[in-house]
Amino acid sequence: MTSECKEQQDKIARFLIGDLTEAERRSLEDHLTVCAVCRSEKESYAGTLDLLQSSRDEPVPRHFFIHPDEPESNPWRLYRRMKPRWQWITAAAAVLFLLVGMAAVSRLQFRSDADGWTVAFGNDTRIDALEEEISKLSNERNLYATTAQLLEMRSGFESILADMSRQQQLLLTALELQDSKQTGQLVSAEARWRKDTGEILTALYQNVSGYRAQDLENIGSRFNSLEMNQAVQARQTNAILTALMQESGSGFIKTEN
Amino acid sequence: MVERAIQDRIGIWAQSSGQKQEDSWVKASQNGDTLAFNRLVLKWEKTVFNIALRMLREREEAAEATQEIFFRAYRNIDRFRQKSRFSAWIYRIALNHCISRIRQRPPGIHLSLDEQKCAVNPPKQLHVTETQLDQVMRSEECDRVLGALAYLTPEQRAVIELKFFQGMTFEDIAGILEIPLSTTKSRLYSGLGILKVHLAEKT
Repeated sequence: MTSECKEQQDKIARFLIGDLTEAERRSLEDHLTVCAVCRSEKESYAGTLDLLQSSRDEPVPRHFFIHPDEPESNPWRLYRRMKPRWQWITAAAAVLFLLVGMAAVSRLQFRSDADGWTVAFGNDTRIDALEEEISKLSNERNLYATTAQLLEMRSGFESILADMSRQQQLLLTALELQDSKQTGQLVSAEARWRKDTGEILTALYQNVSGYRAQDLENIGSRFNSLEMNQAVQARQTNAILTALMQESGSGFIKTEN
Repeated sequence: MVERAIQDRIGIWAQSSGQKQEDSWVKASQNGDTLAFNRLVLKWEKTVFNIALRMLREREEAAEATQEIFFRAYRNIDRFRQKSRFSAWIYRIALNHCISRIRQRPPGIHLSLDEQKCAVNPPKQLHVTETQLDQVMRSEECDRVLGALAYLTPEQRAVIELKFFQGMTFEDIAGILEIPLSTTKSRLYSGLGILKVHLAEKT
């Protein structure tokens, strides 16, 4: 059986009952013309439906008449059978009866005391007094209960407070520890920084002093060489002048050297 | 053609007249008229008995259940509203009563699948008439159907009953059994698949 057969066979019962859409019906009919397996399945379903629909009802073995042995005692049914006017009257009477009955029951008293049982109607002052006492006791009981509740709440709050202070203390200790640790770290860092900076400055100073001494020395030697050059040049100039004067024969130029 | 049209007209008139008569019997029953209720019983007892027979698959139990169904209907006739059909109302009572009876059966008790449950008077002489033969064949068919119904759940049986034996629409069935339309269809097709297997193999 192909997957299409499986899909189409699910539709056969719906097809025979007329519960398929037009498109589904056409698709199934097309498939049935080419698939013998599905045709056989359709025949099988059709036979079942024929058998079910041709099945006739069996005759009854006896009649099933109702014989109401008891007189009709259902009040609702009796009420429904009344004429509307009597239905209104009965309803009003029932409501009145119910109200009077409720009032009577609320006033009815059953008492037991030393003399035995007593049935009475109306208010009983002893009951009022007892009710008052019960109410008072009940109020007191409520007060005790409230006080106990408040005390319980207070102890609860106290324990919460103690818990909180303990936690606060722990937090403070932890903070102090942290603080001292950080201060120590800062001091050591400062000392290290100072030392490092001093060393750097000293080295720098030494370098700069070295360079300065060398520069001064260079400048001195330069000046010396300049002086020496100047002296040499002056000497040469004088020699030149002397030579010139000697050449010209006039003696008014005199060298100072 | 003309005869057919006249027959159709007579059929519609008879149906409408029968419906009116049924409505009047229901109304009278609601006013406490037991005779009117027994007229309804007479009209519907065959259908209700056959519903019970196909649901319960046992003649004696079906008869007992039918009596209980009509008694329950009689006790509750005040609750029936005229806007719905009496047939739908009595089908609902019958099917619910049968399903409840099946559920109350002690576990482990199964009715035989091959037991003869349909009424038949076997011919006493060797030479049988056509009517007798027809009766025997119908009884065999009835037994086959009841035997196959045994494989269904009570809920599937109820849907099959209303669709094929009472010829109702899916919407009406869903309304009577108070279940969604999709559930009605799925119960019908699954039940039909089971019936096909058990009815086809004996064909």
